[in-house]
Amino acid sequence: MDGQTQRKRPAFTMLTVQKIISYFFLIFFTFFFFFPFFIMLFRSFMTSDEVLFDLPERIFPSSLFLGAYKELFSVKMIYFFKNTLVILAFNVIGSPLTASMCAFAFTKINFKCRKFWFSLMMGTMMLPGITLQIPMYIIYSMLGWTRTNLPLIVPAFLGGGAGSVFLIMQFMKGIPKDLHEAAIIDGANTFYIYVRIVVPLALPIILYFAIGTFMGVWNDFMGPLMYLQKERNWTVALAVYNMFRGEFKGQQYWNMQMASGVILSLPCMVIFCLFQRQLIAGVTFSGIKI
Amino acid sequence: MLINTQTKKWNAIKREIVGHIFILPLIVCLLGFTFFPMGVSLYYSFFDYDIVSPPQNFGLQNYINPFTLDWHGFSSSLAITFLYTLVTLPLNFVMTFSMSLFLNQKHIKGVRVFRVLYYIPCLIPAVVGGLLWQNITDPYYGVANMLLGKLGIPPFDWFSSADTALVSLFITSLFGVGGGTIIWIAQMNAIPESLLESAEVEGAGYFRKLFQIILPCCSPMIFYSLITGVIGGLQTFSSAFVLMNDANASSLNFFVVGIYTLAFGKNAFGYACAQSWLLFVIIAVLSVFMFKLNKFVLYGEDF
Repeated sequence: MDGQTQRKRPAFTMLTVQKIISYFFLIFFTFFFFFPFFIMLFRSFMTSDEVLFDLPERIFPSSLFLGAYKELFSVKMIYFFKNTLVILAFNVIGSPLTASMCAFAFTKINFKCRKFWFSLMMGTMMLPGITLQIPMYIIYSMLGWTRTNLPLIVPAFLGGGAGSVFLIMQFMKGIPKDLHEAAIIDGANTFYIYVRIVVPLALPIILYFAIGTFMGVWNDFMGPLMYLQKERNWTVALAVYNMFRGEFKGQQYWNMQMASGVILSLPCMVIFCLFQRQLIAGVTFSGIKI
Repeated sequence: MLINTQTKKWNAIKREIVGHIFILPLIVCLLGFTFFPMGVSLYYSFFDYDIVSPPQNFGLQNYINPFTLDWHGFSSSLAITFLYTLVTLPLNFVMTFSMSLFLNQKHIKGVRVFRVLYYIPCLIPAVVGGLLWQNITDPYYGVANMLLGKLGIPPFDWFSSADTALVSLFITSLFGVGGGTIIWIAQMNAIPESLLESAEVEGAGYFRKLFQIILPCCSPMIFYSLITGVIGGLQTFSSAFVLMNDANASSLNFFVVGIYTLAFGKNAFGYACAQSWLLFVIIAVLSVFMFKLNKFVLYGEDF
Protein backbone atom coordinates (compact mmCIF):
# COMPACT_ATOMS: atom_id res chain seq x y z
CA MET A 1 0.00 0.00 0.00
CA ASP A 2 2.63 2.43 1.12
CA GLY A 3 4.89 1.58 -1.75
CA GLN A 4 2.14 2.30 -4.27
CA THR A 5 1.36 5.80 -3.00
CA GLN A 6 5.03 6.60 -2.96
CA ARG A 7 5.37 5.50 -6.56
CA LYS A 8 2.32 7.51 -7.62
CA ARG A 9 3.28 10.78 -6.05
CA PRO A 10 6.43 11.53 -8.10
CA ALA A 11 4.52 10.74 -11.30
CA PHE A 12 1.87 13.27 -10.31
CA THR A 13 4.39 16.03 -9.62
CA MET A 14 6.27 15.25 -12.85
CA LEU A 15 3.08 15.91 -14.78
CA THR A 16 2.48 19.17 -12.92
CA VAL A 17 6.02 20.34 -13.57
CA GLN A 18 5.61 19.45 -17.22
CA LYS A 19 2.37 21.44 -17.35
CA ILE A 20 3.92 24.47 -15.72
CA ILE A 21 6.84 24.40 -18.15
CA SER A 22 4.40 24.01 -21.04
CA TYR A 23 2.31 26.98 -19.98
CA PHE A 24 5.45 29.03 -19.46
CA PHE A 25 6.57 28.38 -23.04
CA LEU A 26 3.07 28.88 -24.46
CA ILE A 27 2.79 32.28 -22.80
CA PHE A 28 6.35 33.19 -23.69
CA PHE A 29 5.70 32.49 -27.39
CA THR A 30 2.43 34.43 -27.26
CA PHE A 31 4.41 37.46 -26.14
CA PHE A 32 7.06 36.73 -28.74
CA PHE A 33 4.59 36.63 -31.63
CA PHE A 34 2.58 39.60 -30.37
CA PHE A 35 5.64 41.69 -29.51
CA PRO A 36 5.66 43.62 -32.85
CA PHE A 37 1.92 44.21 -32.64
CA PHE A 38 2.09 45.48 -29.05
CA ILE A 39 4.91 47.88 -29.91
CA MET A 40 2.81 49.18 -32.79
CA LEU A 41 -0.26 49.56 -30.57
CA PHE A 42 1.66 51.36 -27.78
CA ARG A 43 3.40 53.76 -30.10
CA SER A 44 0.15 54.60 -31.89
CA PHE A 45 -1.18 56.11 -28.65
CA MET A 46 1.86 58.31 -28.04
CA THR A 47 1.82 62.05 -28.55
CA SER A 48 4.17 63.71 -31.05
CA ASP A 49 6.33 64.92 -28.19
CA GLU A 50 6.63 61.47 -26.72
CA VAL A 51 7.57 60.03 -30.10
CA LEU A 52 10.15 62.74 -30.69
CA PHE A 53 11.82 63.01 -27.30
CA ASP A 54 11.07 59.98 -25.14
CA LEU A 55 12.03 57.14 -27.49
CA PRO A 56 13.40 54.53 -27.28
CA GLU A 57 13.19 54.29 -23.46
CA ARG A 58 9.44 54.90 -23.36
CA ILE A 59 7.56 51.66 -24.06
CA PHE A 60 4.06 52.52 -22.84
CA PRO A 61 2.23 55.69 -23.83
CA SER A 62 1.51 58.12 -21.00
CA SER A 63 -2.21 58.09 -21.80
CA LEU A 64 -4.69 56.77 -24.36
CA PHE A 65 -3.95 59.66 -26.70
CA LEU A 66 -6.05 59.39 -29.87
CA GLY A 67 -4.55 62.38 -31.68
CA ALA A 68 -2.61 60.23 -34.13
CA TYR A 69 -5.79 58.44 -35.20
CA LYS A 70 -7.71 61.71 -35.54
CA GLU A 71 -4.97 63.25 -37.63
CA LEU A 72 -4.85 60.17 -39.83
CA PHE A 73 -8.53 60.41 -40.64
CA SER A 74 -8.27 64.08 -41.40
CA VAL A 75 -5.97 63.33 -44.34
CA LYS A 76 -8.09 61.69 -47.03
CA MET A 77 -8.05 58.33 -45.23
CA ILE A 78 -11.85 58.07 -45.55
CA TYR A 79 -11.44 58.42 -49.28
CA PHE A 80 -8.92 55.57 -49.47
CA PHE A 81 -11.21 53.43 -47.36
CA LYS A 82 -14.01 54.01 -49.84
CA ASN A 83 -11.71 52.98 -52.72
CA THR A 84 -10.74 49.81 -50.91
CA LEU A 85 -14.35 48.97 -50.08
CA VAL A 86 -15.40 49.24 -53.73
CA ILE A 87 -12.66 46.84 -54.82
CA LEU A 88 -13.42 44.56 -51.87
CA ALA A 89 -17.14 44.39 -52.63
CA PHE A 90 -16.58 43.25 -56.21
CA ASN A 91 -13.95 40.71 -55.17
CA VAL A 92 -15.78 39.23 -52.23
CA ILE A 93 -18.87 38.67 -54.40
CA GLY A 94 -17.22 37.89 -57.73
CA SER A 95 -14.47 35.47 -56.76
CA PRO A 96 -16.52 33.00 -54.69
CA LEU A 97 -19.37 33.14 -57.20
CA THR A 98 -17.29 32.38 -60.27
CA ALA A 99 -14.94 29.95 -58.50
CA SER A 100 -17.89 27.94 -57.18
CA MET A 101 -19.50 27.94 -60.67
CA CYS A 102 -16.34 26.47 -62.21
CA ALA A 103 -15.93 23.96 -59.40
CA PHE A 104 -19.57 22.95 -59.80
CA ALA A 105 -19.14 22.38 -63.54
CA PHE A 106 -15.99 20.31 -63.01
CA THR A 107 -17.49 18.09 -60.32
CA LYS A 108 -21.21 17.84 -61.12
CA ILE A 109 -21.65 18.30 -64.88
CA ASN A 110 -20.43 15.43 -66.97
CA PHE A 111 -19.38 17.23 -70.15
CA LYS A 112 -16.71 16.10 -72.54
CA CYS A 113 -14.38 19.12 -72.57
CA ARG A 114 -14.08 19.33 -68.80
CA LYS A 115 -10.90 17.25 -68.65
CA PHE A 116 -9.31 19.55 -71.22
CA TRP A 117 -10.16 22.79 -69.40
CA PHE A 118 -9.33 21.28 -66.02
CA SER A 119 -5.83 20.22 -67.04
CA LEU A 120 -5.30 23.57 -68.75
CA MET A 121 -6.28 25.31 -65.52
CA MET A 122 -4.02 23.14 -63.36
CA GLY A 123 -1.19 23.73 -65.81
CA THR A 124 -1.21 27.44 -65.01
CA MET A 125 -0.78 26.90 -61.28
CA MET A 126 3.01 26.89 -61.40
CA LEU A 127 3.19 30.13 -63.36
CA PRO A 128 4.86 32.82 -61.21
CA GLY A 129 2.64 35.86 -60.63
CA ILE A 130 5.16 38.33 -62.02
CA THR A 131 5.27 36.53 -65.40
CA LEU A 132 1.66 37.60 -65.92
CA GLN A 133 1.70 40.87 -64.00
CA ILE A 134 4.17 42.70 -66.27
CA PRO A 135 2.33 41.91 -69.55
CA MET A 136 -1.01 42.57 -67.83
CA TYR A 137 0.28 46.01 -66.96
CA ILE A 138 1.18 46.56 -70.62
CA ILE A 139 -2.31 45.43 -71.68
CA TYR A 140 -4.06 47.51 -69.00
CA SER A 141 -2.13 50.61 -69.94
CA MET A 142 -3.02 50.11 -73.61
CA LEU A 143 -6.69 49.85 -72.58
CA GLY A 144 -6.31 52.97 -70.43
CA TRP A 145 -7.25 51.01 -67.32
CA THR A 146 -4.22 52.10 -65.27
CA ARG A 147 -6.04 55.39 -64.62
CA THR A 148 -8.96 53.46 -63.07
CA ASN A 149 -9.45 50.68 -60.53
CA LEU A 150 -10.64 48.20 -63.18
CA PRO A 151 -7.41 46.09 -63.08
CA LEU A 152 -8.29 45.08 -59.53
CA ILE A 153 -12.01 44.54 -60.18
CA VAL A 154 -12.37 42.74 -63.50
CA PRO A 155 -10.13 39.75 -62.63
CA ALA A 156 -12.39 39.11 -59.62
CA PHE A 157 -14.99 37.69 -61.98
CA LEU A 158 -12.65 35.17 -63.57
CA GLY A 159 -12.80 32.17 -61.28
CA GLY A 160 -10.45 33.23 -58.50
CA GLY A 161 -7.49 31.16 -59.68
CA ALA A 162 -6.73 27.47 -60.12
CA GLY A 163 -5.95 26.83 -56.45
CA SER A 164 -9.31 28.05 -55.20
CA VAL A 165 -11.34 26.25 -57.88
CA PHE A 166 -9.46 23.07 -57.01
CA LEU A 167 -10.10 23.55 -53.29
CA ILE A 168 -13.85 24.09 -53.75
CA MET A 169 -13.91 21.08 -56.11
CA GLN A 170 -12.41 18.86 -53.42
CA PHE A 171 -15.19 19.92 -51.08
CA MET A 172 -17.97 19.50 -53.65
CA LYS A 173 -16.76 15.98 -54.42
CA GLY A 174 -17.87 15.07 -50.91
CA ILE A 175 -21.49 16.07 -51.59
CA PRO A 176 -23.42 12.84 -52.22
CA LYS A 177 -24.57 12.21 -55.78
CA ASP A 178 -28.02 10.96 -54.67
CA LEU A 179 -29.23 14.47 -53.83
CA HIS A 180 -28.30 15.73 -57.23
CA GLU A 181 -29.78 12.71 -59.04
CA ALA A 182 -33.03 12.91 -57.10
CA ALA A 183 -33.36 16.55 -58.15
CA ILE A 184 -32.82 15.64 -61.80
CA ILE A 185 -35.58 13.02 -61.60
CA ASP A 186 -37.82 15.70 -60.13
CA GLY A 187 -37.14 17.73 -63.25
CA ALA A 188 -34.75 20.32 -61.80
CA ASN A 189 -32.38 21.95 -64.27
CA THR A 190 -28.67 22.42 -63.72
CA PHE A 191 -28.92 26.05 -62.58
CA TYR A 192 -31.48 25.10 -59.97
CA ILE A 193 -29.22 22.33 -58.70
CA TYR A 194 -26.30 24.74 -58.48
CA VAL A 195 -28.19 27.44 -56.63
CA ARG A 196 -30.45 25.39 -54.39
CA ILE A 197 -28.50 22.19 -53.67
CA VAL A 198 -24.77 22.42 -54.24
CA VAL A 199 -24.06 26.00 -53.12
CA PRO A 200 -25.91 25.70 -49.80
CA LEU A 201 -24.09 22.45 -49.03
CA ALA A 202 -20.72 23.86 -50.06
CA LEU A 203 -21.29 27.05 -48.07
CA PRO A 204 -18.58 26.36 -45.45
CA ILE A 205 -15.81 26.22 -48.06
CA ILE A 206 -17.29 29.11 -50.05
CA LEU A 207 -17.43 31.21 -46.89
CA TYR A 208 -13.84 30.26 -46.11
CA PHE A 209 -12.83 31.29 -49.60
CA ALA A 210 -14.79 34.58 -49.38
CA ILE A 211 -13.07 35.49 -46.11
CA GLY A 212 -9.73 34.53 -47.62
CA THR A 213 -10.50 36.78 -50.59
CA PHE A 214 -11.39 39.65 -48.26
CA MET A 215 -8.10 39.28 -46.39
CA GLY A 216 -6.12 38.89 -49.60
CA VAL A 217 -7.59 42.00 -51.19
CA TRP A 218 -7.40 44.06 -48.01
CA ASN A 219 -3.73 43.16 -47.54
CA ASP A 220 -2.80 43.23 -51.23
CA PHE A 221 0.11 45.52 -51.87
CA MET A 222 1.72 44.42 -55.14
CA GLY A 223 -1.48 44.74 -57.23
CA PRO A 224 -2.37 48.30 -56.18
CA LEU A 225 1.31 49.30 -56.34
CA MET A 226 1.52 48.25 -59.98
CA TYR A 227 -1.90 49.10 -61.35
CA LEU A 228 -3.28 52.04 -59.36
CA GLN A 229 -1.25 54.98 -60.50
CA LYS A 230 -3.61 57.86 -59.74
CA GLU A 231 -3.77 58.95 -56.12
CA ARG A 232 -7.56 59.12 -56.29
CA ASN A 233 -7.66 55.32 -56.82
CA TRP A 234 -5.26 54.28 -54.04
CA THR A 235 -6.30 51.61 -51.58
CA VAL A 236 -5.59 52.05 -47.87
CA ALA A 237 -2.55 49.74 -48.03
CA LEU A 238 -1.00 51.62 -50.93
CA ALA A 239 -1.86 55.01 -49.41
CA VAL A 240 -0.17 54.04 -46.15
CA TYR A 241 2.93 52.94 -48.04
CA ASN A 242 3.10 56.11 -50.12
CA MET A 243 2.14 58.56 -47.38
CA PHE A 244 4.89 57.57 -45.00
CA ARG A 245 7.52 57.60 -47.70
CA GLY A 246 6.53 61.07 -48.85
CA GLU A 247 4.45 63.67 -47.04
CA PHE A 248 4.61 62.10 -43.58
CA LYS A 249 8.19 60.87 -43.49
CA GLY A 250 10.02 61.58 -40.28
CA GLN A 251 10.03 60.68 -36.66
CA GLN A 252 7.34 63.16 -35.57
CA TYR A 253 4.85 61.09 -37.57
CA TRP A 254 5.75 57.75 -36.01
CA ASN A 255 2.60 57.70 -33.90
CA MET A 256 0.54 58.25 -37.06
CA GLN A 257 2.48 55.53 -38.86
CA MET A 258 1.77 53.04 -36.13
CA ALA A 259 -1.87 54.14 -35.90
CA SER A 260 -2.31 53.45 -39.61
CA GLY A 261 -0.69 50.07 -39.08
CA VAL A 262 -3.16 49.24 -36.32
CA ILE A 263 -6.10 50.33 -38.49
CA LEU A 264 -4.84 48.30 -41.42
CA SER A 265 -4.26 45.18 -39.30
CA LEU A 266 -7.43 45.24 -37.21
CA PRO A 267 -10.14 44.26 -39.76
CA CYS A 268 -8.50 40.95 -40.62
CA MET A 269 -7.79 40.16 -36.98
CA VAL A 270 -11.40 40.88 -35.99
CA ILE A 271 -12.73 38.78 -38.86
CA PHE A 272 -10.38 35.98 -37.93
CA CYS A 273 -11.57 35.99 -34.35
CA LEU A 274 -15.23 36.07 -35.43
CA PHE A 275 -14.96 33.23 -37.93
CA GLN A 276 -12.14 31.45 -36.11
CA ARG A 277 -13.79 28.02 -36.11
CA GLN A 278 -14.70 28.04 -39.81
CA LEU A 279 -11.34 29.48 -40.81
CA ILE A 280 -9.31 26.93 -38.90
CA ALA A 281 -11.50 24.17 -40.37
CA GLY A 282 -10.91 25.68 -43.81
CA VAL A 283 -7.15 25.97 -43.40
CA THR A 284 -7.07 22.40 -42.15
CA PHE A 285 -9.18 21.19 -45.05
CA SER A 286 -7.05 22.98 -47.64
CA GLY A 287 -3.89 21.64 -46.05
CA ILE A 288 -5.07 18.06 -46.13
CA LYS A 289 -6.69 18.11 -49.57
CA ILE A 290 -4.04 19.87 -51.61
CA MET B 1 -35.60 3.63 -79.95
CA LEU B 2 -34.77 6.36 -82.45
CA ILE B 3 -36.31 9.02 -80.24
CA ASN B 4 -34.38 7.67 -77.30
CA THR B 5 -30.96 8.03 -78.98
CA GLN B 6 -31.93 11.46 -80.24
CA THR B 7 -32.85 12.72 -76.79
CA LYS B 8 -29.65 11.19 -75.50
CA LYS B 9 -27.68 13.09 -78.10
CA TRP B 10 -29.57 16.29 -77.38
CA ASN B 11 -28.94 15.83 -73.64
CA ALA B 12 -25.22 15.39 -74.28
CA ILE B 13 -25.12 18.57 -76.35
CA LYS B 14 -27.08 20.40 -73.69
CA ARG B 15 -24.65 19.22 -71.02
CA GLU B 16 -21.77 20.43 -73.15
CA ILE B 17 -23.35 23.88 -73.51
CA VAL B 18 -24.36 24.21 -69.85
CA GLY B 19 -20.92 23.03 -68.74
CA HIS B 20 -19.23 25.66 -70.84
CA ILE B 21 -21.55 28.38 -69.55
CA PHE B 22 -20.54 27.50 -66.00
CA ILE B 23 -16.81 27.57 -66.74
CA LEU B 24 -17.06 30.67 -68.93
CA PRO B 25 -15.25 32.82 -66.31
CA LEU B 26 -12.42 30.30 -66.31
CA ILE B 27 -12.26 30.19 -70.11
CA VAL B 28 -12.03 34.00 -70.25
CA CYS B 29 -9.39 33.90 -67.52
CA LEU B 30 -7.29 31.28 -69.30
CA LEU B 31 -7.52 32.76 -72.78
CA GLY B 32 -7.68 36.50 -72.07
CA PHE B 33 -5.84 36.85 -68.78
CA THR B 34 -3.31 34.00 -68.96
CA PHE B 35 -2.38 32.82 -72.44
CA PHE B 36 -2.80 36.17 -74.16
CA PRO B 37 -0.56 38.02 -71.66
CA MET B 38 1.93 35.13 -71.86
CA GLY B 39 2.08 35.68 -75.61
CA VAL B 40 2.39 39.44 -75.15
CA SER B 41 5.17 38.91 -72.64
CA LEU B 42 7.03 36.48 -74.89
CA TYR B 43 6.71 38.87 -77.85
CA TYR B 44 8.02 41.95 -76.02
CA SER B 45 10.79 39.96 -74.33
CA PHE B 46 12.64 40.04 -77.66
CA PHE B 47 12.53 43.84 -77.91
CA ASP B 48 13.60 46.98 -76.11
CA TYR B 49 10.20 48.26 -75.06
CA ASP B 50 9.16 51.12 -72.78
CA ILE B 51 5.37 51.13 -73.47
CA VAL B 52 5.47 54.74 -74.72
CA SER B 53 7.44 54.21 -77.93
CA PRO B 54 7.10 51.23 -80.28
CA PRO B 55 9.30 48.17 -79.58
CA GLN B 56 12.83 48.38 -80.97
CA ASN B 57 15.92 46.21 -81.58
CA PHE B 58 14.54 42.74 -82.12
CA GLY B 59 16.90 40.11 -80.77
CA LEU B 60 17.95 37.85 -77.93
CA GLN B 61 19.75 40.63 -76.01
CA ASN B 62 17.24 40.50 -73.11
CA TYR B 63 18.03 36.83 -72.56
CA ILE B 64 21.79 37.15 -73.09
CA ASN B 65 22.50 40.34 -71.15
CA PRO B 66 21.72 38.91 -67.70
CA PHE B 67 24.56 36.42 -68.23
CA THR B 68 27.04 38.86 -69.78
CA LEU B 69 26.70 42.64 -69.36
CA ASP B 70 24.42 42.58 -66.30
CA TRP B 71 25.85 39.42 -64.75
CA HIS B 72 26.96 41.20 -61.61
CA GLY B 73 23.51 42.48 -60.67
CA PHE B 74 21.68 39.43 -61.99
CA SER B 75 23.82 36.90 -60.15
CA SER B 76 23.64 38.81 -56.89
CA SER B 77 19.84 39.02 -57.03
CA LEU B 78 19.66 35.28 -57.84
CA ALA B 79 22.03 34.53 -54.97
CA ILE B 80 20.01 36.65 -52.51
CA THR B 81 16.76 34.98 -53.54
CA PHE B 82 18.16 31.46 -53.26
CA LEU B 83 19.95 32.20 -50.00
CA TYR B 84 16.76 33.59 -48.50
CA THR B 85 14.79 30.52 -49.59
CA LEU B 86 17.48 28.09 -48.42
CA VAL B 87 17.76 29.71 -44.99
CA THR B 88 14.14 30.58 -44.18
CA LEU B 89 12.62 27.33 -45.44
CA PRO B 90 14.44 24.94 -43.05
CA LEU B 91 14.44 27.53 -40.26
CA ASN B 92 10.68 28.05 -40.50
CA PHE B 93 10.16 24.32 -40.92
CA VAL B 94 11.97 23.44 -37.71
CA MET B 95 10.24 26.25 -35.82
CA THR B 96 6.75 25.43 -37.10
CA PHE B 97 7.21 21.70 -36.58
CA SER B 98 8.45 21.93 -33.02
CA MET B 99 5.81 24.50 -32.20
CA SER B 100 3.10 22.21 -33.58
CA LEU B 101 4.41 19.28 -31.52
CA PHE B 102 4.20 21.54 -28.53
CA LEU B 103 0.69 22.77 -29.34
CA ASN B 104 -0.51 19.23 -29.95
CA GLN B 105 -0.26 18.19 -26.29
CA LYS B 106 -3.76 17.03 -25.56
CA HIS B 107 -3.51 17.01 -21.78
CA ILE B 108 -2.98 20.77 -21.55
CA LYS B 109 -6.13 22.82 -21.12
CA GLY B 110 -6.67 25.90 -23.25
CA VAL B 111 -4.17 24.87 -25.88
CA ARG B 112 -6.70 25.75 -28.60
CA VAL B 113 -6.71 29.36 -27.47
CA PHE B 114 -2.97 29.50 -28.02
CA ARG B 115 -3.35 28.09 -31.53
CA VAL B 116 -5.63 31.01 -32.39
CA LEU B 117 -3.36 33.50 -30.65
CA TYR B 118 -0.33 32.29 -32.61
CA TYR B 119 -2.17 32.72 -35.88
CA ILE B 120 -3.28 36.32 -35.33
CA PRO B 121 0.09 38.09 -35.76
CA CYS B 122 0.37 36.48 -39.22
CA LEU B 123 -2.57 38.60 -40.31
CA ILE B 124 -0.51 41.80 -40.18
CA PRO B 125 -0.33 43.01 -43.80
CA ALA B 126 3.03 43.27 -45.57
CA VAL B 127 2.84 47.06 -45.77
CA VAL B 128 2.30 47.31 -42.03
CA GLY B 129 5.09 44.78 -41.49
CA GLY B 130 7.36 47.12 -43.40
CA LEU B 131 6.47 50.18 -41.30
CA LEU B 132 6.55 48.21 -38.10
CA TRP B 133 9.92 46.56 -38.57
CA GLN B 134 11.46 49.80 -39.73
CA ASN B 135 10.21 51.36 -36.54
CA ILE B 136 11.30 48.54 -34.24
CA THR B 137 14.74 48.20 -35.81
CA ASP B 138 15.52 51.89 -36.07
CA PRO B 139 19.19 52.03 -34.97
CA TYR B 140 18.65 54.97 -32.58
CA TYR B 141 14.99 55.08 -31.56
CA GLY B 142 13.88 51.47 -32.14
CA VAL B 143 12.95 49.02 -29.43
CA ALA B 144 15.22 46.28 -30.79
CA ASN B 145 18.53 47.98 -30.11
CA MET B 146 17.24 49.35 -26.80
CA LEU B 147 16.48 45.79 -25.64
CA LEU B 148 19.82 44.54 -26.94
CA GLY B 149 21.49 47.36 -25.02
CA LYS B 150 19.76 46.27 -21.80
CA LEU B 151 21.21 42.79 -22.35
CA GLY B 152 24.63 44.31 -22.90
CA ILE B 153 24.75 43.47 -26.60
CA PRO B 154 26.14 46.19 -28.90
CA PRO B 155 23.60 47.79 -31.28
CA PHE B 156 22.88 46.09 -34.58
CA ASP B 157 22.41 47.96 -37.87
CA TRP B 158 19.33 45.93 -38.94
CA PHE B 159 17.78 47.33 -42.09
CA SER B 160 19.91 50.47 -42.22
CA SER B 161 22.93 48.71 -43.66
CA ALA B 162 23.39 46.42 -46.64
CA ASP B 163 25.47 44.00 -44.56
CA THR B 164 22.77 43.22 -42.01
CA ALA B 165 19.52 43.70 -43.95
CA LEU B 166 19.20 40.12 -45.19
CA VAL B 167 19.94 38.63 -41.77
CA SER B 168 17.34 40.99 -40.31
CA LEU B 169 14.81 39.73 -42.83
CA PHE B 170 15.54 36.14 -41.70
CA ILE B 171 14.84 37.22 -38.13
CA THR B 172 11.62 39.06 -38.92
CA SER B 173 10.35 36.07 -40.93
CA LEU B 174 10.41 34.06 -37.69
CA PHE B 175 7.52 36.10 -36.30
CA GLY B 176 5.26 34.57 -38.93
CA VAL B 177 5.84 30.89 -38.13
CA GLY B 178 2.87 30.68 -35.75
CA GLY B 179 0.46 30.67 -38.68
CA GLY B 180 1.78 27.47 -40.17
CA THR B 181 1.03 25.42 -37.07
CA ILE B 182 -2.69 24.96 -37.79
CA ILE B 183 -2.13 22.76 -40.85
CA TRP B 184 0.64 20.83 -39.13
CA ILE B 185 -1.49 20.08 -36.09
CA ALA B 186 -4.21 18.73 -38.39
CA GLN B 187 -1.67 16.45 -40.04
CA MET B 188 -0.36 15.26 -36.67
CA ASN B 189 -3.89 14.52 -35.48
CA ALA B 190 -4.39 12.32 -38.53
CA ILE B 191 -1.65 9.94 -37.34
CA PRO B 192 -3.37 6.76 -36.10
CA GLU B 193 -3.24 6.61 -32.32
CA SER B 194 -2.72 2.84 -32.48
CA LEU B 195 0.67 3.29 -34.18
CA LEU B 196 1.98 5.48 -31.39
CA GLU B 197 0.53 3.24 -28.70
CA SER B 198 1.99 0.04 -30.08
CA ALA B 199 5.37 1.75 -30.39
CA GLU B 200 5.11 2.74 -26.76
CA VAL B 201 4.23 -0.80 -25.74
CA GLU B 202 7.33 -2.03 -27.54
CA GLY B 203 9.40 0.41 -25.54
CA ALA B 204 10.13 3.13 -28.08
CA GLY B 205 11.33 6.38 -26.52
CA TYR B 206 10.14 9.87 -27.39
CA PHE B 207 12.75 10.54 -30.06
CA ARG B 208 12.34 7.11 -31.62
CA LYS B 209 8.60 7.81 -31.98
CA LEU B 210 9.33 11.30 -33.32
CA PHE B 211 11.74 10.21 -36.03
CA GLN B 212 10.22 6.87 -36.98
CA ILE B 213 6.50 7.55 -36.72
CA ILE B 214 5.57 11.21 -36.49
CA LEU B 215 7.99 12.58 -39.07
CA PRO B 216 7.33 9.89 -41.73
CA CYS B 217 3.57 10.25 -41.21
CA CYS B 218 3.93 13.99 -41.74
CA SER B 219 5.80 13.53 -45.00
CA PRO B 220 2.88 14.70 -47.20
CA MET B 221 2.92 17.98 -45.29
CA ILE B 222 6.71 18.23 -45.53
CA PHE B 223 6.44 17.69 -49.27
CA TYR B 224 3.65 20.26 -49.57
CA SER B 225 5.50 22.89 -47.57
CA LEU B 226 8.72 22.21 -49.48
CA ILE B 227 7.04 22.87 -52.83
CA THR B 228 4.97 25.88 -51.77
CA GLY B 229 7.92 27.21 -49.75
CA VAL B 230 10.39 27.05 -52.64
CA ILE B 231 7.94 28.47 -55.19
CA GLY B 232 6.81 31.20 -52.78
CA GLY B 233 10.32 31.96 -51.54
CA LEU B 234 11.69 32.50 -55.03
CA GLN B 235 8.87 35.00 -55.63
CA THR B 236 9.46 37.04 -52.45
CA PHE B 237 8.45 40.60 -53.14
CA SER B 238 6.29 42.59 -50.73
CA SER B 239 8.04 41.68 -47.49
CA ALA B 240 11.40 42.82 -48.90
CA PHE B 241 10.15 45.70 -51.03
CA VAL B 242 8.45 47.52 -48.16
CA LEU B 243 11.68 47.45 -46.15
CA MET B 244 13.93 48.67 -48.94
CA ASN B 245 15.75 51.98 -48.61
CA ASP B 246 18.80 53.56 -50.22
CA ALA B 247 21.18 51.96 -47.76
CA ASN B 248 20.07 48.33 -48.04
CA ALA B 249 18.80 48.22 -51.64
CA SER B 250 21.76 46.13 -52.84
CA SER B 251 21.14 43.35 -50.32
CA LEU B 252 17.33 43.18 -50.54
CA ASN B 253 17.39 43.09 -54.33
CA PHE B 254 15.30 39.92 -54.67
CA PHE B 255 14.63 38.52 -58.13
CA VAL B 256 11.04 39.75 -58.36
CA VAL B 257 12.00 43.09 -56.80
CA GLY B 258 14.60 43.37 -59.59
CA ILE B 259 11.98 42.64 -62.25
CA TYR B 260 9.67 45.24 -60.71
CA THR B 261 12.41 47.90 -60.73
CA LEU B 262 13.32 47.07 -64.32
CA ALA B 263 9.72 47.60 -65.43
CA PHE B 264 8.51 50.44 -63.24
CA GLY B 265 11.80 52.09 -62.27
CA LYS B 266 13.68 51.94 -65.55
CA ASN B 267 10.77 51.47 -67.98
CA ALA B 268 12.56 48.44 -69.45
CA PHE B 269 9.40 46.38 -69.93
CA GLY B 270 10.91 44.08 -72.55
CA TYR B 271 13.79 43.24 -70.27
CA ALA B 272 11.43 42.69 -67.35
CA CYS B 273 9.34 40.27 -69.45
CA ALA B 274 12.46 38.29 -70.39
CA GLN B 275 13.59 38.04 -66.75
CA SER B 276 10.15 36.91 -65.62
CA TRP B 277 10.42 34.09 -68.18
CA LEU B 278 13.80 33.16 -66.71
CA LEU B 279 12.15 32.98 -63.29
CA PHE B 280 9.42 30.77 -64.74
CA VAL B 281 12.03 28.39 -66.18
CA ILE B 282 13.88 28.23 -62.85
CA ILE B 283 10.67 27.47 -60.96
CA ALA B 284 9.53 24.89 -63.52
CA VAL B 285 12.87 23.04 -63.43
CA LEU B 286 12.96 23.04 -59.63
CA SER B 287 9.33 21.84 -59.49
CA VAL B 288 10.12 18.88 -61.74
CA PHE B 289 12.99 17.90 -59.44
CA MET B 290 10.90 18.36 -56.32
CA PHE B 291 8.05 16.26 -57.67
CA LYS B 292 10.56 13.42 -58.09
CA LEU B 293 10.67 13.35 -54.27
CA ASN B 294 7.01 12.34 -54.31
CA LYS B 295 8.02 8.66 -54.20
CA PHE B 296 9.44 9.13 -50.69
CA VAL B 297 6.17 10.51 -49.40
CA LEU B 298 3.86 8.27 -47.38
CA TYR B 299 0.21 8.85 -48.19
CA GLY B 300 -2.73 7.73 -46.05
CA GLU B 301 -2.96 4.14 -47.30
CA ASP B 302 0.67 3.35 -46.47
CA PHE B 303 0.34 3.90 -42.71
